[in-house]
Amino acid sequence: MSRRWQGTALFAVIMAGVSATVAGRMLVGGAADHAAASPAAPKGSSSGSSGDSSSGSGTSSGDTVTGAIEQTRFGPVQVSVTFSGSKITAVTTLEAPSERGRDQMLTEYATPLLEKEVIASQSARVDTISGATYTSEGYLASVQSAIDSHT
Amino acid sequence: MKRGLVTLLVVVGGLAVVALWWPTAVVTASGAALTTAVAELAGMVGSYLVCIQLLLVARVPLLERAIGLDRLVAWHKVVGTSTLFLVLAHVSFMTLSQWISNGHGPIAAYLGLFGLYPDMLTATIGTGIVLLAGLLSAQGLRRLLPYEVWYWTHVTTYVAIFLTFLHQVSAGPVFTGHPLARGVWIAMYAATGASILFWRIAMPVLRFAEHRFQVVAVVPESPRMTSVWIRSRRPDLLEVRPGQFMLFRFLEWGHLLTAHPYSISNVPADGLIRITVADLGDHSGRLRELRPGTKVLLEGPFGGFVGRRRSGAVLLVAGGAGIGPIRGLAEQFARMGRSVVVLYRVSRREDLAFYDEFTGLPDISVITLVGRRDELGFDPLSAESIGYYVPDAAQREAFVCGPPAMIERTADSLGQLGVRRVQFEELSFA
Repeated sequence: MSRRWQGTALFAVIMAGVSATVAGRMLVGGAADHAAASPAAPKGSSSGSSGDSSSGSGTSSGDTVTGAIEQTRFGPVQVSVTFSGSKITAVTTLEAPSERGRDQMLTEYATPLLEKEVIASQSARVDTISGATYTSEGYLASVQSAIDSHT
Repeated sequence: MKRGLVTLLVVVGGLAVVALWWPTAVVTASGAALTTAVAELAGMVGSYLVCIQLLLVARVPLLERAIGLDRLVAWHKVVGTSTLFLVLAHVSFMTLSQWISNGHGPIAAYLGLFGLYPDMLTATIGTGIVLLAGLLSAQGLRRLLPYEVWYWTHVTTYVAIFLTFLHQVSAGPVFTGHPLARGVWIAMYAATGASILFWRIAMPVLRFAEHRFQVVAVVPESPRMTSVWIRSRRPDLLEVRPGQFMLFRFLEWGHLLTAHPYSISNVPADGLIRITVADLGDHSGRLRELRPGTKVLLEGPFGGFVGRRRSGAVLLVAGGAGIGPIRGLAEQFARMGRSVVVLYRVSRREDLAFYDEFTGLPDISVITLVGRRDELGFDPLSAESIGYYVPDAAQREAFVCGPPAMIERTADSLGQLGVRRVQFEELSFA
């Protein structure tokens, strides 16, 4: 190969590697970091990180309970939890970081997964979503506060 | 072997960059997420290669010994091309991801990035400068530009890289909220910066403090060629051989702002080194006006155009200004007791330099090949012609120095003649 095209060829190889890595990362999904991420099991709104969360510790309106606003590094997170009896049937995100494009993307990505997990486990003791650790912790703490005030 | 090891280290470093990205990456099957991920990774790998780029030309002694400046510069060019493309890919994919999620077209998407990430203005300015410097170094364009323009766009690149570094650590999702990853990245850039400061700035100054290099004489060798003699105060510390080159920065207005590579054209002795330079209508022409006493900063020596064998007959082929390094080598080989034949090719008789000097060295036979090819009706550097002048060429170790086209022709001819050991030095490699 002539020297002239070596740089272009190197670029092509690197981009192929980058694309393959991104594809691999997508297939692995959020699981890659689960071992490393601390299983966030917020112990109610009294847990350390949520020390400065607002005092409104869940206001009950029928079967839907609004959780506390949790301050995270990227902005406040607040959810409402819908109960059917004592069973959690839905979690609605009222507020989540969306100021920057990436935050919004992360929120859109993480909150449905978190909702699914919360409903499946019927608790806030689920793993945080890799890559969205702060948002997850805030989300789960808010869920926990809603659960606390419902019971 | 050593080259393989360095390549391996660079690849391992690249994989480490991917490992840094992996845990914090969020990749879903949406177009915006995929393009963002590609952009991030391309940006990180590109940024890593920027550091590699700088280290390749930071004159790190370990790399100089293992690989040599000329090959390092060749790598710098290859890696540089791919680095530029990676930077372009990073910008394009970031823009594309915004375009996909907002749908207001590429320009609005790019401007949208300014609202999403900090330090985007400095990043944009820096990237612009880096791209410009890369473009000006592209083959073809580079030859049309004065050396000074190329040199200074490259120096500006250091500032530009710093400008782009800001947005990496402030906006890069791998680094925000991950102090360890950020620390690694900052350390990588700090180490690169320190290498450049130490080996490219501090070392030449420290060497100057020792040697106090200064011009002692400026001698015209032909209408086009000029020799500059430089003396060191500490001959015992001077380790430079004929055929090698150094970077010279003359501390005088008109010369101060750029460092130029010139080959050594004598066998340095008594702390005296000589360079012999052809007037190419730029900086090289102004060397003639240097005054004795001018101080000089030197970097180097560099280059392996010195030969490894200790014995055996040699054939030296010089084209035009290529006579400089050939002159030094000829004397060195003659002193080693080796049989030396010099083929000296010039277009016009008045361009011959060193003729008297060569005749003063009895053990060297110099064959001058004078005249333009269209006037002569044949190529004096064809296999036939070289075979005629040097019948035992195949038994000799050959050294060729001159302009690229001349080197190419001579290499062909020597190959046809069955010369097995040939070393080349292009005059304008840097």
